Amino acid sequence: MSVFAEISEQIQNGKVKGVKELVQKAIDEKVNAKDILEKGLLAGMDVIGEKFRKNEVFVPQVLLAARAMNAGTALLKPLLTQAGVKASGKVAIGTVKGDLHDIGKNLVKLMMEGKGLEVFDLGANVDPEKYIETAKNENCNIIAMSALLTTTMSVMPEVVEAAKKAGIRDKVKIMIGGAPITQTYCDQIGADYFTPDAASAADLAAKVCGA
Amino acid sequence: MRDDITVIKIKTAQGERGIEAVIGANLLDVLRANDIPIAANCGGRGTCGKCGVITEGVRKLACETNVEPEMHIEVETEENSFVIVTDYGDKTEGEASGDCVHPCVAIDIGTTTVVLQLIDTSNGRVVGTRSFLNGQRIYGEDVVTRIKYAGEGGLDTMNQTIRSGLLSALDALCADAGIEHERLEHICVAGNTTMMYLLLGYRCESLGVYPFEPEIAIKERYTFHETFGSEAFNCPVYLVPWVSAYVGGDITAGYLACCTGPDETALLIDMGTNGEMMLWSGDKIWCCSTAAGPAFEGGGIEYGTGSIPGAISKVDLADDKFICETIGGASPVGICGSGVLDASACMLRGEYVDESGRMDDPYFNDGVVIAEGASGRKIIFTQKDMREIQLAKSAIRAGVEIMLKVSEFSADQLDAVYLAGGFGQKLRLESAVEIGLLPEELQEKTRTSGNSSLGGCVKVCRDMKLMDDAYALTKKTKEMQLNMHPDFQDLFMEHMMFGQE
Repeated sequence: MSVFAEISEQIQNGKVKGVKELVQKAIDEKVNAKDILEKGLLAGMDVIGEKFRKNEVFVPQVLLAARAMNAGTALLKPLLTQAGVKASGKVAIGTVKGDLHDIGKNLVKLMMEGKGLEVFDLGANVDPEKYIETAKNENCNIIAMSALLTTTMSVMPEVVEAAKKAGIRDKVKIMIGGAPITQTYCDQIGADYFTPDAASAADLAAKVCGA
Repeated sequence: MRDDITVIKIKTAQGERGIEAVIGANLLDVLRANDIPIAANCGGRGTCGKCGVITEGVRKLACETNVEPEMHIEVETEENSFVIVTDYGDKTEGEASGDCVHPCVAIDIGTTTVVLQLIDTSNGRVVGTRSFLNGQRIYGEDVVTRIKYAGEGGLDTMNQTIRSGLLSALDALCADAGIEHERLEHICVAGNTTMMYLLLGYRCESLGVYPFEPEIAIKERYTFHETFGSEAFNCPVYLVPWVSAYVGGDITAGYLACCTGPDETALLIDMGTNGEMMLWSGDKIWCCSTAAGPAFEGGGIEYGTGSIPGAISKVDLADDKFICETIGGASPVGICGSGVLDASACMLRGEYVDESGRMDDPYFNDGVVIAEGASGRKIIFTQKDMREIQLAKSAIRAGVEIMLKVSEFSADQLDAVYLAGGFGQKLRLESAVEIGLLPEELQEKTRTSGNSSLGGCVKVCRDMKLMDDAYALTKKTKEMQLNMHPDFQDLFMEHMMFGQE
């Protein structure tokens, strides 16, 4: 088995230690850092993401896999920076104002990172201005919003409006998700994309960023 | 007749009736306006799939269907014969001997069901009981959907719905016992905070967003007119006080019903969509609510249903065969909460799923057939259902673990665990422990407390001094925001799996 396949397998099994050892070994053997990231770590996350979408694996396995991936990425980071490898896109993500539910949002964030995107996590109970500010300052391709309550989803159109007002609406795509959200709602408030689960959110974000 | 109005024929269990409707109107709205008790858990957003109607042989969702000229429809699931829990393990019931000397009424307003009891406070006896389904249910299954509907202009409608339901029940309760309206001495009401706000006609927005603080404070005493918008009675009305937007007077009342005394260390769990919990030990009290979702009420489950006749309420596994028991012994129509819990335990026991919750092939794609209903309609438990259960059970379990952590008690140190509400009443404890909904150490100490909200309300009604205890309790209770607790996410992940404890 190639070192990439081994790393991918360890990611899928959520083995932090295994991933660290293999990534370090690959670095020592002067394997290209970008290849380790893409063919090993991200490839492993892709498999998990696909299985999650099909309900074959569940939230905890995705979380474990993401933890393992982060351990590997941490080792690679200095080399990637050195080689001038940049994230394929940037996302500002958060749970909307009035809502504290952030487990779904965290999952989306991890899976987006698993696609090689740079994600700015604004946390929960996020003010509309905060999304705009981050998107502006960090030059984000995407603003991603989550809401679990039907009573808080109404903040989403405020963010869409705020993006228009700040003059960044044509530069940033707006994605929404969460239990009460539907495609109809997305169309109604003028957001760009709705995805029903974390895996498809990550896939779509990667596509939007051209990754 | 205006030319945009048509008559649609609606077939229900009660027979067929014609309803006038505007062509192009939303069918769910029309059914609601005509008091057809159709299931619509999500409140008409097209996400729960419960408001099915059959028209011209095709199944459609009422919320996604527009009225067409002279259409004929058949309502798939009516929810007018719900099982209503009125027990709370109190023995002072039975016929009153002689006249009712001091007639008072205790009312429990649940999100789904409403129960009233006429009490003679001179001897504490229950003179009469009335119950009905909360008519607000057609505007959404859970409190959050109703808060949303209230904010969109539905407040008056829902306010009138609950008031008129209560007024006719009060009227009937007094008529049955031969009590003139002016003799009623007082009324005590318990219910979750949203139900109280909707009863009083208060704006509910503050209940639906962080920091989830009720905007309008409770008053110690209301007039009958303030509470019910009617002069039919004129006695004072007292509400059992709430702790917060999500830990309401129903939980406060539950404490009053269950707590055995100052030496007790115990946990009360109401396993609804928002699983509320209260842990007390002497003078110290903690509480929280956890977003369990509707899975244990049959919501979000492919063949899920409420506690209606024909709902599978018990599932056993013997020699790879599923043995199902339904409510009323009727032909199976779906699975209700306790059946869903049993079914998931059977999936584990029969090794249809592994400890991660994944079903084995070929069940992974097809699900497991657990029963067959009328005309061979299969009742299937699916992989997606299993995932819903995992989320729900873990939300409750992680809540229990955080409550123990914060209060610094171990499961062993608890004297008792009380399970409140309809699901708590019917669930099989072995199944709950088997899937890890509750820790094994608590199995022996767990008992069902039935409708403890009503039980506590009756207690207060008999002895108004207890209302002071209730207010004292709400002041000293510490509420946890589970999502803010640093360990919540880890515990939530850990308990989503099975059998690693």
